[in-house]
Amino acid sequence: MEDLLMGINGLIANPKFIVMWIIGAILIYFAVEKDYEPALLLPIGFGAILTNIPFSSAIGPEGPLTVLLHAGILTELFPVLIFVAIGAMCDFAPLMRNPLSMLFGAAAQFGIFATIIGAAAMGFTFKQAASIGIIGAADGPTTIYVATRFAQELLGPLSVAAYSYMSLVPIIQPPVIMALTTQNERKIRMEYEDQEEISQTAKFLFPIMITIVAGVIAPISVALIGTLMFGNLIKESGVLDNLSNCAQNELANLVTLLLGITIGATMEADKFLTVDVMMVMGLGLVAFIFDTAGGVLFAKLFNLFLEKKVNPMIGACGISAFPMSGRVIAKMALKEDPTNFIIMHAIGVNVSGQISSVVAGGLVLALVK
Amino acid sequence: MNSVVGQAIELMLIAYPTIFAVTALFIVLTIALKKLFPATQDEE
Repeated sequence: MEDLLMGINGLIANPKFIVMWIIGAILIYFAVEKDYEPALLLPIGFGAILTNIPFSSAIGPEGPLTVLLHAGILTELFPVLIFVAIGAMCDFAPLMRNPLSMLFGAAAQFGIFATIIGAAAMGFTFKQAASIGIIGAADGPTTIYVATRFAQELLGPLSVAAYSYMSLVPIIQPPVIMALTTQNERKIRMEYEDQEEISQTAKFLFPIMITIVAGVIAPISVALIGTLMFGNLIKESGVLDNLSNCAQNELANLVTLLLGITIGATMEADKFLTVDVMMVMGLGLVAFIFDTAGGVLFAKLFNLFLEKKVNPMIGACGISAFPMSGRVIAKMALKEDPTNFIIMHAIGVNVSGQISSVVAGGLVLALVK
Repeated sequence: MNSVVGQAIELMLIAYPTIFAVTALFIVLTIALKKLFPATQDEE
């Protein structure tokens, strides 16, 4: 009889479980009704519910979610497998046509470092601050990878913050851009010259080049940048269509499914319902705001030296939230001038953000001791 | 200023410019790749 009542007794002893059910339900609501990163937020939300049922057999020493945590998260395997999938989905041709756009990707990583300083000032340890700041990479796998190394106790809230804010880019970025630009700047036209064709050889060698350069500078980043570029390489090789399709579909879906529910399983009530977690959520938002500001302000600075100005809004596309950020900025440009189509420029910068965010993550891993 | 904030500022002063330096290298190498391996007429 006691066994039948232990769940109820557990709830009475710790009502925080019910709060976590509500949080899990909110994440599921955002996923289903609002279409906010449903592939991650729904499994995370349900994982949070599973782990917050008293005496849940899903967690604990032999629980399946614990097995997945040890096998896939603590080994950093799931994030790198996701990167293979993301790499296979990437098309670096727009970036290769206009390589200077990579500078905007670099600039937009500003939010990572500004947030690390902010988190440090709020009393987090250096490693925790680095893990919080890396939310600004706007890249789930990088966030999970760094958090697993530096702040496993914050893995749940960091992941929720990263994926939630990535899906909220259409709400976060426009006000920041409007505040930092004038209407005339937002109306700057960016025309398309004849689209330069990039040879298949160049597209094939590009991921190899990026991996070697980034890897020699920060060897600890090879797991991240290498797997991202490996995914792209199998796509660009032209002889591995089956593997490329598998990476983009089956691998992406399978790992995403397991990753999400496992992350949710780390959201235990006693660890999640703390002031620290609320600060993490707040700082995550700050990271995205400063990323956007960094990219836009860099573009404005860049314009001081250019005869043919760029629309400074594309600086905001340098965050790694691909392709959402590119689409948001393209839409803002059309709102200012319905004949100003900057989508391809925006997407090129957005793709560069993918590379820059992984480089930034690698540098944080290398330099934070 | 506590030492952790100092470490964070130091990290920014080293890492943020390094990202730009690495990016500049990527830009140069990408331009070199395009020049060494231009698109053929079939690809245009």
